[in-house]
Amino acid sequence: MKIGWPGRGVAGRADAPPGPVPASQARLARSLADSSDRKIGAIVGLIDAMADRGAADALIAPLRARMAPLRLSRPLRFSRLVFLPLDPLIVAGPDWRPGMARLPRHAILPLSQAVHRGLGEDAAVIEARIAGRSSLDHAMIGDLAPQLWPRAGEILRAIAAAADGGSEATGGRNGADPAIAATWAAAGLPADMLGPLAAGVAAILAEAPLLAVLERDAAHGIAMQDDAVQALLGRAAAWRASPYAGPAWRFLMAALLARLPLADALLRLGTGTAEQPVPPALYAAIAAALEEALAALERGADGPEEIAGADLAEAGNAARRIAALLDTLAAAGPGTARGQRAEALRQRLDGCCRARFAVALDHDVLPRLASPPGAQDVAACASLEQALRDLRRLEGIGRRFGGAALYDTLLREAAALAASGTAPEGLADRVRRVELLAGPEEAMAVLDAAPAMVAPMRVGQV
Amino acid sequence: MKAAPAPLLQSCYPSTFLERGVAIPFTTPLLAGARARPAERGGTELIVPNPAGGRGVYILPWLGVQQLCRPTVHDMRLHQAISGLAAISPGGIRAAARQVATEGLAGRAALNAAGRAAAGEAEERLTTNFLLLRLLIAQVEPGDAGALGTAPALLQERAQRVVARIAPRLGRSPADLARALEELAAIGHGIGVPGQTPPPRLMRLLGALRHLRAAMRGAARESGGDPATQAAMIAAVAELTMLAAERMIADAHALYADMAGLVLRWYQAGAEIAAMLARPDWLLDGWEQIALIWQLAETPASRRAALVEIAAMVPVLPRELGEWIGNPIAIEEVGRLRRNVTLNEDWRTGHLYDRIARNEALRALAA
Repeated sequence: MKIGWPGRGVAGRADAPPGPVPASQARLARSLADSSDRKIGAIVGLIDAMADRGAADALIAPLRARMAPLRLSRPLRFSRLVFLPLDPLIVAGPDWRPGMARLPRHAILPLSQAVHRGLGEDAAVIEARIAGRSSLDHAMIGDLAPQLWPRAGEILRAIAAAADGGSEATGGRNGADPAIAATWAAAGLPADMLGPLAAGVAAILAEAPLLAVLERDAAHGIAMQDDAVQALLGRAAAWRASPYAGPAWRFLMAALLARLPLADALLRLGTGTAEQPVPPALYAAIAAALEEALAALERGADGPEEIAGADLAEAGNAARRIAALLDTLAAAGPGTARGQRAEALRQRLDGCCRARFAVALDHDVLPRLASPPGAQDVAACASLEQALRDLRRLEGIGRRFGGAALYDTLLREAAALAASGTAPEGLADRVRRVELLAGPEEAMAVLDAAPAMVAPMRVGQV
Repeated sequence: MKAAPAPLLQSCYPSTFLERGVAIPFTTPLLAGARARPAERGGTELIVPNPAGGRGVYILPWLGVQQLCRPTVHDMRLHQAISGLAAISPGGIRAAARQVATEGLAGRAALNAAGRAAAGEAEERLTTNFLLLRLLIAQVEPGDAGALGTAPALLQERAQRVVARIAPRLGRSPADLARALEELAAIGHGIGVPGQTPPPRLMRLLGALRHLRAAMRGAARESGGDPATQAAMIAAVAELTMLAAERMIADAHALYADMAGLVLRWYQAGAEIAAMLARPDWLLDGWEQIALIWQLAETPASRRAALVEIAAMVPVLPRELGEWIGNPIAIEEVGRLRRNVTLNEDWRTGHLYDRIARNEALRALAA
């Protein structure tokens, strides 16, 4: 199979594979990669506002890894709206290989245009509604997406079915409509990848509303319910008649794992402990998705090193997501080669958490504890408390992988600093900071040591 | 070595409201929905819903609570305050919680809110006292109903004059009469008098409960699966509670139709009247926290989580309610609607500090 990038014509577009980049542009891109979060937001905003992004789009390619945690407000374009559920699976062209349950970024345009055509007049209605809206307009997305995603899934499923048979062997001809065949070829994508990629995206879009609910539930601590996953797998099993069942299942499983790393319900079903049997090929897709997730972590894509570049609040969330995925991987194959690889990743995660924790302590916490805000500076007090919560969230995940003694020591030292001071009006703030850093017992000791500073208990009775 | 906590009880259908306990506004996430009640052997024990989100409760002394979780400093102080109470009642717990909040250990917003709430309650008590006096005058001396004016301004001086005039007719000293009205207001200020504006605390809470019931019915209609079941259960219990509370409030307000008789009975059977006036407070206890959790859940995602949280802490209706309203109620039927929805262990630990902050925000919104 011939794989490669034509490097002509479309190289400068966001949806195209990156072609050769001039040295000066590459230097500029590298320097931008070292920019502050605020600067990145400004740069992305400028490029988003350009009518013709052209080569400027290549400048933000190195920033993409840092853009995700920043949750930048970006124009809500049609393709962005349709492909939101694919976000965790979109990779840069050079990082993509056929057979991966990942979508190369330059495949978005042809697929998006196909969906646009397939929707007919409804596409214009959607375009009108999202005009001027932001990617953070959750109300608008919530309003449009539940209908749009499954319809887009149907359109792409039909395209996958029509593409059946199209391959290099047939000279790139397939049963797909000529328009997508042309844009697909113009994007430099192998013709025989249209079917698998369209099927993979279709499988995710069909389940996207449910995936969104499951993801929201997980974010609020609600465990994935077996019956919901069972129903999802039941529907996914219907792909078995398609020659693209494999890609469809792999994409779907990869999407589940990417968004719901603690997918033990999925694994239970996959390992046959569920009441309803799962087709062996579907379980193979689960195993493949796990393998791919592991490989992605090993490559560094969304891996432990992401924690170093994330802000403190996001670092804890990233560590938690990676830790959950490692738990799932460990559960899938303890004592195996995969288990050993997971262990290696745990060690990397351990190191990254410790390093990020130390940086946060030095930059975000200790200076503010050494010179704490006055009791009347409500905003500064609240900001400091939030920094302490973020620190503890990161530490809570990090200590699962090692360094408990180190974390304890550093937190105790920080708590001692937080406890220092004698001003009665700041006692409650100091106690709260010690509590956040070292726990309630230590904070209670600070309170007990300063009884005169606390208003005596007067308990009202009725 | 720490002892294991007491075993999880699979069901808890209390006979009386006192046995149900009074909701404690702890900020420790694992103590969400916890209630305090007098222990059989003296002291106080806590009823803690199954922290995993499923059915069942723990019944524990404070020592057992400390084995179950690490309570916040605020909660340790609150427990100390509750231990010092002569009796467990919603009003007593409320006052203790406000007192602890004024130490600032649940944050500055909660501290300020506690001060406002205490001041608001004092004003409500004064207003109710004033309105009870007006009712008494209107009934005993209809021609002199305007003697107090329409506002509590200069209340004390005018009230003393009016009470001095009316008290002999009731065979009581002015001081006795004034004290009776003050005591009635102290117990009944939460429901105030019919038509009182602005509505007092329990009338506002009843409004919040109506709003919650409507929201839960909507959520039950629009959701599927577990969320629909949870919302339906919450709506059902809210409806029963609301209807019973309206009845209790109407019964209490009916007492004010004969103020002279009420004052005379107050001297003879004060405990009975006090219990009647306090019923709405007992009945609505715990719903403020629930209504606030729903109020703070603004996105679909957080509402989904709020449903799980609320479903675990919906107050059980004790059998005593059947006696209060004169009809037995099928408590177990409502209980059967409760469903298990498990919560990730990771969530309970990883989000601990954020959840404490959310609970402190609830304290800042509580009346």
